[in-house]
Amino acid sequence: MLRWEKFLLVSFLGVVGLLVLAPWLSPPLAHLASLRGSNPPVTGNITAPPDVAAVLRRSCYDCHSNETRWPWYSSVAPISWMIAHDVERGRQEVNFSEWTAYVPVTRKRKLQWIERALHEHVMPPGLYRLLHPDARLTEQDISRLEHWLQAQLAELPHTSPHQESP
Amino acid sequence: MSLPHSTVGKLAVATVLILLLAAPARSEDHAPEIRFENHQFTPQTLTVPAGQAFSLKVTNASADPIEFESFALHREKVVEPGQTITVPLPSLKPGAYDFYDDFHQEVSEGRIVAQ
Repeated sequence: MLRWEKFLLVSFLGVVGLLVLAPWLSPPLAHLASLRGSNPPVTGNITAPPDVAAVLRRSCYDCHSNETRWPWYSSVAPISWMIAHDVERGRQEVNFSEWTAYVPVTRKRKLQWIERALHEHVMPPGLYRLLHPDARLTEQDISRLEHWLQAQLAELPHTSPHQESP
Repeated sequence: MSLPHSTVGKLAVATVLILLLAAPARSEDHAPEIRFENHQFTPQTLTVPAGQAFSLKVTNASADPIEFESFALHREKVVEPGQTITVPLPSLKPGAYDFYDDFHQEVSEGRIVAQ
């Protein structure tokens, strides 16, 4: 079989596969499509010093707030599905626009996870940093955030003790 | 790597393969389980042996997704309604390790006690 014939065959099989899978893919994809471009109202924004707030907005808010900036490619499938999924998951994990709805123990948990994510350099995600170079955290940003996180954690009431990581 | 030609050799390879495949299944069959239903985890306190790695099963018997999460254990996983997940855990030092549902902050947290 010639190379272009193989390409046509693979493409044809791919289309057929999508058509077969469509009934199962449609509901989740429709859900993701409904999220695209949607920014629920800001009901209780986190309060932070201006320099910390600026870092959060620049590096975190697109996925972890209701003030997501939706770029033009967020309307183009399939990347739109990935972006909508990431925003949905990000808001579920922590939403700085609904911070005041978190009870103190929840705030403590989220601040601890944020601190861990900073230490492990897993946030913002690599692909996001590639598309948004300005979101990269400098050492100064990390230091600024860590100091602020420590201060926030110290102010929260002591909750039930948990063992340190094994 | 080619298979041995002798019958004994083939039987030996088959036995090793069966044991390798069966071992994880055995360990998961005896895995401790936490069940989420009626807005709470059951049991609230799970006791496990310290110093032994194990797998934990988490079943969501509610109608909404939950996120089984534990900062102390460095684990977080969404569990869909009706789903059971298996969370591999390393050997734990003696102590208490809290877990909770990160999607529902009103749910009381549970605790794994290693002793």
